[in-house]
Amino acid sequence: MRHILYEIKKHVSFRETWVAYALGIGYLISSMWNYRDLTGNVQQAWYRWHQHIWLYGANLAMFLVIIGMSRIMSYERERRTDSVLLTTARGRNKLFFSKIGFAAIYAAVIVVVFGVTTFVHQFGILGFEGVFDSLKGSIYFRVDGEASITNIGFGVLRHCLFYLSVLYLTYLVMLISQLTKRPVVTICICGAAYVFPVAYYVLGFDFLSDRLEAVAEFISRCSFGGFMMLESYSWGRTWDFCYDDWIGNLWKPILFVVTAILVELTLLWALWRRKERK
Amino acid sequence: MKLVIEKVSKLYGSFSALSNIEVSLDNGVYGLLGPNGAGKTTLMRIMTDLLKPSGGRVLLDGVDISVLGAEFRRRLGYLPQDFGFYPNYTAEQFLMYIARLKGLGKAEAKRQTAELLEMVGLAEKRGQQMKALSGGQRQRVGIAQALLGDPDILVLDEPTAGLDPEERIRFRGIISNLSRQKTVLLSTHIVSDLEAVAHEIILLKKGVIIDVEKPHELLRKIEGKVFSLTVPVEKEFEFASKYRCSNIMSEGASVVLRIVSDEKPHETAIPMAPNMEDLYVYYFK
Amino acid sequence: MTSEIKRYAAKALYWMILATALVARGFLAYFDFKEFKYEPDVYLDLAADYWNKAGSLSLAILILIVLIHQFSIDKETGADTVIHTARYGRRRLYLERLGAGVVMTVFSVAILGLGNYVISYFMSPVGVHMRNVLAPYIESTLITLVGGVGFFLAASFVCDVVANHPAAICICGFPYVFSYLVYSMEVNKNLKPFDLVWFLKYGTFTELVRGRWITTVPVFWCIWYPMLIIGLFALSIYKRKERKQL
Repeated sequence: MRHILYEIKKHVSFRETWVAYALGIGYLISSMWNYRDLTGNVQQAWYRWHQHIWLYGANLAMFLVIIGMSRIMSYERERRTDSVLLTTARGRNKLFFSKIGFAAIYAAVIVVVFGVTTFVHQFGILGFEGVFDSLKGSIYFRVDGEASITNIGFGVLRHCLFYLSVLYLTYLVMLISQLTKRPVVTICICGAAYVFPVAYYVLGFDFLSDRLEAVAEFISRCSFGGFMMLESYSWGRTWDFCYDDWIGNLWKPILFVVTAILVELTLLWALWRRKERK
Repeated sequence: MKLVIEKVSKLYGSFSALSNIEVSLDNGVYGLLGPNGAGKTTLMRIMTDLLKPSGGRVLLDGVDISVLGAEFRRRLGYLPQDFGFYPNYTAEQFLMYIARLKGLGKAEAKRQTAELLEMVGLAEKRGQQMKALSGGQRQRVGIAQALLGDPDILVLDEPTAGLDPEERIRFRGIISNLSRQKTVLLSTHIVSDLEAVAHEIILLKKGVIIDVEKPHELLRKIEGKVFSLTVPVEKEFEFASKYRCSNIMSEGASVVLRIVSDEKPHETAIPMAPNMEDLYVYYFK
Repeated sequence: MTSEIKRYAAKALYWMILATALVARGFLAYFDFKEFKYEPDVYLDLAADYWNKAGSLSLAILILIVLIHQFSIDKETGADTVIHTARYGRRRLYLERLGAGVVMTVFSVAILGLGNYVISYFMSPVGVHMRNVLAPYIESTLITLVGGVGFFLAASFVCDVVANHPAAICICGFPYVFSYLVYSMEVNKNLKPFDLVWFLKYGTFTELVRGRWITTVPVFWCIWYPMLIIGLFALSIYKRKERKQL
């Protein structure tokens, strides 16, 4: 834990991190400002909270993760402390795992702060009504055939999935950062990798031929962007999108993301060791 | 040409890095000697107009250097302690770039770059990227860039750090040749370098100048205070912790201690002629 | 200034981004051609509308990733002390870098604009030529030029002040991109002048770089943009004086 604190100390010394925080807070406030005209409809408020991740949370988390994590892997090299740290008895392993641990905590903080802030904003004045009401009462969801789930349960589930997706991105940023060793290049690559699925889901790529559209859909659904928007969790019994009974099939995308994270970590570890061998 | 440091002080919050520094520099090599944290780099940064002093000023021929601006910098060559560079530039490209910033014409910049690369022994490495050069080679590029434009004032912060003995001797030769018509301020921990080239030495301790003298004058001040004492190995710690030692040499079952002390440490101690290392120990240890 | 322009021209990243932008435009033109083979007017309108999306994004990426980097690179590499003790390493170098950056921004607009013209010409359906929409295209290119130069100046001043490239990208890039996003937001439907979102929509150079004049309260923007640039310039000068870099 102490080593993770050292990583936090490094993280807060990056000037761009503070700029990202300031802009992130501005964005969060503007997103809540956009929803300021609450009508008093409780179920609508629940819907808004559930959808907030798709509309704002994904963008916000992407921004904070890419900016905040792009330097963490190359910082030792940048400050020329790598040769010292990596030649200490357990420096290599400890440094790696403290970075991994810090990344997990950082992703969790983003998700929790976002979730709690938007939750309080939506329900602070509504008195947290309908917390344990069934989601089936919602006119916004087609949940026929779903296991019974409450409003709060659904929200927590969505935020857990969101956390998993943010981790997927976080370790990818670390992986690319380890490869490029340049924060700006990492920001560009990861930013572009996020824009593609967002453009696919928001704008649609109707102009593409069927085959190319299938490729675009595949990329979008497998990428962290698709998962961060929670679109890619809607797997049916087959590959096709399916909003009915998607909770029953949730283990499939979760397995996919967990596998992706493990692959990322394995590659990161291999790169880290390669650096040490050099 | 006269460079005068007039009552310069520098505060970082409540910490005084320099206090009331007053010194006047003419042509010649001035060595700046002091332990870590004495304020050497701060003084050099103020003298190169990179740092604003909290009080006082630096005058070149009676005019404040911050007023002179580019005119002062035209006459200045500076090698910082942590010399930075563009990693993807070749040594030649880097020197050409600095030469242009120093206001040299293209032909002159090319001529001087080639000449200086030759002088610092890097002519064969001119086409190699800076990132591919060794630490010592980069330091030599740093020395070369400071000499570009034939500056009247040279401020060199730890110039011999990372150089091998052969290169250090070469560097001393370069500085000795330059010293007749230039003001050179040299900061280093390798006191033998100062002994070889400095005309005057400025002793700086905790932000205060404690003495400015010619090396032999400083050495004369500690004459009769340096002793050589041979003791059994088991007595080494006792003497080493009681007296300031500038050298300890093992000789089988005994050790020879070089002690700097106002009084004779032992009746068997032999007085020795002082050197610069003794001087450093006497003032700073 | 020539040496600074040469430094920009020697950056592989600059040419990579430029080439990628043109290749991407090639793909888009190909799909436009397929989609609107029999509606040449639509094809031409899309070609002339290049700066609205792909062009303005490409230019902003070039400016933020490559062109403003010159204002923080000395500090990043530790070469700043050597540079700032050189005779022309302060004011003159600063102005030369600004000048070179403006030249490169103009060059980038020209290359992207010309590239779009050529690509659209070669990909166009038979009998259709860009000259049919040349006047509006040239007009939007000129607006982009003005906006691009303004955006470069503002971003380079910011980069100079914060002396940190990623931070400058965030500060300038975030509001820039936000302006695009406003169009897909609910709040855009009843936007009133001097609302915060209205301000973010029009006040971050994006509209100009997209090749569009700002028609809502134009007098205000005529004052706002010069004041913004002058204000940031003054801040940059102040910080440089404080750091003894001028």
